[in-house]
Amino acid sequence: MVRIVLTPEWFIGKDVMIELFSFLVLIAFFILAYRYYKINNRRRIFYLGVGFGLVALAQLATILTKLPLYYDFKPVSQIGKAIITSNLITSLDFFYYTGFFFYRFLTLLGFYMIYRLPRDRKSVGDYMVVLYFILISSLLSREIFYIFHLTALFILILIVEKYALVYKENRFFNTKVLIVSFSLLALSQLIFVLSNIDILFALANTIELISYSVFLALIIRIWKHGKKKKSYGDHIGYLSDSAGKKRTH
Amino acid sequence: MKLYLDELISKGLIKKENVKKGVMITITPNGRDFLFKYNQMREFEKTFGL
Repeated sequence: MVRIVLTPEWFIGKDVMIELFSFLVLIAFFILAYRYYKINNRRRIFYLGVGFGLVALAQLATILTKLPLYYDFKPVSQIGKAIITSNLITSLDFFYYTGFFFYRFLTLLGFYMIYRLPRDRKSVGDYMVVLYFILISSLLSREIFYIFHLTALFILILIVEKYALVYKENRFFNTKVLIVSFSLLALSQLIFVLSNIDILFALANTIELISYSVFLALIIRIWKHGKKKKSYGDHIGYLSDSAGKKRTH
Repeated sequence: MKLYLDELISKGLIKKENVKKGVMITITPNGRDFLFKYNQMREFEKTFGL
């Protein structure tokens, strides 16, 4: 029999809290990117936002799937009873498998979008091939759970490599922070591969939490940057007839 | 320059005030808010190498 979730009993609930935190951080990235896209209409910002948005949706999918699985929600258990009494027990399995499938599929698709951004234009065929492999990884992971984590790890390594190249050019501290957070996320995926061992599952989740905390710190840094006041205050300058006059404030 | 100023004034981002020395141009709260967002956007773009 295939286990639906690998969460150890003593970690139940804590994993949902971590996923909820991850969802909030990712949705914050999506909102930021969307706001900036509205200012300059640059598609790359929009697609980056969509990438984070898809991973956020993936987190939401797993939360919504796990909650009825972990806790006895009345409406859900009533639906469950109705399904069982009408001999539709497989439908309940279908709900869980679909929920986790969307988690895997949206996560991989989101990471791929984040990775793909600043590259040259590819043909539709290239996208279809990637989409196919993402779909296959998501579907196969139902039976072989580590296929998903290996695929995510592979894409995350590509993302880290990409931002390492960006950092080489701009030497910007924020990009370094970004590399650290994506590296931690990659490390968590590597440990998830071994998550059959309870303690490693918890460790992978904890590293994921640290990674999203670093992402949150980055959002705060970006947000605070806009609030920095320039030394000359609000006055732009004087317009007068004598062009040579110096600013006195 | 004048065209840019007119556009910024029409969008309510800056305003002109007549003072003794001539005309003073100040940024409006909307303009300040836009500047905040613009600075954040630049920071965001730089972070991701966009």
